[in-house]
Amino acid sequence: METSAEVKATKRALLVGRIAFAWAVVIVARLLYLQVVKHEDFVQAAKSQQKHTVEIPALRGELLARDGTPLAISIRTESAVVNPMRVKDAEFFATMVGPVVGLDRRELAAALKERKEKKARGRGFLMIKRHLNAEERERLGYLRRTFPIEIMEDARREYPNGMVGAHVVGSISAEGNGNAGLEQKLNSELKGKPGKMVVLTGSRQDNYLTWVTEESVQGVNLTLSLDRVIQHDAEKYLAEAVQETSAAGGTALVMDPQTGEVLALANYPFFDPRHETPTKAEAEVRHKNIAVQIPCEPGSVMKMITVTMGIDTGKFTPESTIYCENGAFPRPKRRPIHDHGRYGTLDVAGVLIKSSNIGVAKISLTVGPKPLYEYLKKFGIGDRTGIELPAESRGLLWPLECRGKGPCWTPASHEYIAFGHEVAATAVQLGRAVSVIANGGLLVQPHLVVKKTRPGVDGKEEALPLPGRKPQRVLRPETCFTIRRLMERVVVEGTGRAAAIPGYSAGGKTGSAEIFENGAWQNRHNSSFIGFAPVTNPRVVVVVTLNRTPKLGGVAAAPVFRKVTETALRVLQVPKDRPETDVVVKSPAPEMGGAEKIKEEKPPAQAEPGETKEEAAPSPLLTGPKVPDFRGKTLLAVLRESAERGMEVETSGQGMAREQQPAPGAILPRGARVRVRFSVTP
Amino acid sequence: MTTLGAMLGWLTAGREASGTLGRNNGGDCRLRPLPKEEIYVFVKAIDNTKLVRVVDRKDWAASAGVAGSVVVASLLLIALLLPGGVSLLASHRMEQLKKERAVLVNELRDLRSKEAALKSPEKLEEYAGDRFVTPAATAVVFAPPAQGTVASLGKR
Repeated sequence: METSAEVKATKRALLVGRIAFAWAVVIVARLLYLQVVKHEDFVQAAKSQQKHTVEIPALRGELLARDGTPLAISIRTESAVVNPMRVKDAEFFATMVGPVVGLDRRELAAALKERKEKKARGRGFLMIKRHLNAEERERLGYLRRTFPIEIMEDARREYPNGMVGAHVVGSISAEGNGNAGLEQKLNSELKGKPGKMVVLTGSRQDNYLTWVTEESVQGVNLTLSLDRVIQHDAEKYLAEAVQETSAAGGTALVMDPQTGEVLALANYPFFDPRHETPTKAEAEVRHKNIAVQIPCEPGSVMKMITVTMGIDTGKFTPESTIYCENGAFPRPKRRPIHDHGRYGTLDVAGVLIKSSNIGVAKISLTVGPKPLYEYLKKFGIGDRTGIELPAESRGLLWPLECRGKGPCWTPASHEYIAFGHEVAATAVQLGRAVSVIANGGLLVQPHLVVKKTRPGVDGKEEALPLPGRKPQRVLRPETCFTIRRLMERVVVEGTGRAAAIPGYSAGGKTGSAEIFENGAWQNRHNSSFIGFAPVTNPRVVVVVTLNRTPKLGGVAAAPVFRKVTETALRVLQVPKDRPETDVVVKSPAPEMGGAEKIKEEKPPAQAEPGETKEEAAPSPLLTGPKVPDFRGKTLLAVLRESAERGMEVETSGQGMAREQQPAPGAILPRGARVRVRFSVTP
Repeated sequence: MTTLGAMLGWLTAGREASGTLGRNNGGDCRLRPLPKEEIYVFVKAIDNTKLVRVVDRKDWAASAGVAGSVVVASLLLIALLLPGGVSLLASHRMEQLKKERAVLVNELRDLRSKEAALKSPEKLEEYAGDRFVTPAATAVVFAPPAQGTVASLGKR
């Protein structure tokens, strides 16, 4: 029999057992609640902690020069951001974080407070510092334990060549979207498409397993036709010329006439694509690609098309003669058309070489307006070229037939369009037009992108197809060959003598369209030179345009053509086709642009003050007789002296010799003439 | 503070306790109980010299069976868990390699950019200073084409 003490002990043991049982029941109940009732909730919570869906950013594609050197490339970086709403003490935060990232603590604190206030409008995000360096990243890593700083992936766009080719390459905004050049035009291709990835993380939030649910599409890498050296030199010579000629701006284009590949495209003024937040002036320059967006009157450059039309239609040959009305061609009920010189009868070649407005107007009158319109279209005037740059202009070419209220050709339009009036073209359009002559009659599409590739996950690159750019035949090759020879003579003996390149043959045409603004002629020109080299098998076509310069195309633009073409031929390793000791004449003959012919003629000495200087300093490469000073002499004395020296003289006017060209002391190249103007009054 | 002996005493109340109870009931002249005084170690000498070891084959087989079962079960368990473990380790390694690759690709891009900047025509002119002069066309001599070459100069 149990004693009372044993009973007591048994009771106590039972009590403890019951307590333990109750405790076990509570535990089991709690477990059931957590693992059965709340199962789904906790599974979701665990997943949200361990399983994340993160975006796989698509890195922006690269822009490469034709030799594969990067022109624009993106580098992954990290940026520090903060949610201002989670910052309790903005001053303390700014004091601790500001010095680490090189920010003024007061400014940072002010920015935090401002953003806190803006939170009401949904702006609870402040970028502390973009593109952290390694030291900043490490120091912020420690501060993250205390402050609500987030480190997010970012990318920095680099332009290793600086401002070279900036108008072609373009730039991007702070948000990563293109805002100029190819970066803007091909933004969707370059940007790619971000993908999605599931990440399982451990207790320390480190990834231990990832799988891709949606592949990111990387931005396309674009290889451009640009050559860095040609581009750099084109920009350099263009800038020099703009300064020297007091021009407001300018453009230089170098193109392969066979393929339409643009080797260089320079505009002045330049801009720096590395500035993410440009000034207002910079932003304006950034968006102004003169070569593509701003058409201007081509002036005498258009005579190339008119003469081509005359020859291609069979109504003229280079030897056909045209009476040039001694410099003034009266038109019924209109102002007469003037030439720079008082030319009598010239052959078609002479019309182009001497840049006679009257000559080309008569060609246009003979052939008629409709063929002129058709030939302009054949050369691509008035149509966009399709180059991969934003906001390309189609130029200005009114429709031939009047329909509706829009402007159209008047009965006299074809006379003026023949020498570059009532028509406007961009530098790229002019480049395409010259290419037709240079490549034997094919209309090519100017383009910049020569290769498209998409980098794959495995590091290999997948080639993407390019749009078809089949050239279209618009002229007979024999016509082009004839015109090439005529344009060569423009460089050798005509208005484009400053474009002659030592060791190479070159052809071209000058153009100067005087600017008519506010009801008056401004004595400022859009001076241009279009040309190609070498003549027999042109490898490059070069277009140079200088805007609002007081100098004419032969003086202002032709030297730029020479320098740029020389560089291009050297870089492309084009063999010389002329003797090394070839005579180079850098003084252009007086040239008549478009606008100035309609108004009063100006004395050439006034129009080209720099011309005489240039001629007075003969190059040591020149060979030939020196030009004597004919000024103040009679016609008989001039003829006698020139006959003694074996020179050909072209005279105009009566009285005493007042002006001569070339200037006294200059060396007269073989086959050239001295032009002397006589007048009774000085 | 309640001692272990007191707790046991509380549970087994009524039974005759030895040691502490006896001492507690003693006279006042006795010393206070020392801590852990109630724990005794008894040493009993055992004589095993007359023990005889008898081999029990049945028990041995049972033991071996249990041991074998445990080993097999362990192996099975290892085989079951090993692929998962290996793949987990491999995943970690792969992630590490992916990160390394991304870093290296980024470094390569950075280096290419720096190289292009250093070799840009503008920079080359800067390095050369006044000594760099673009050669005139007349100063450039192209190498003659190799024998049998129809058109070697130029790029087309």
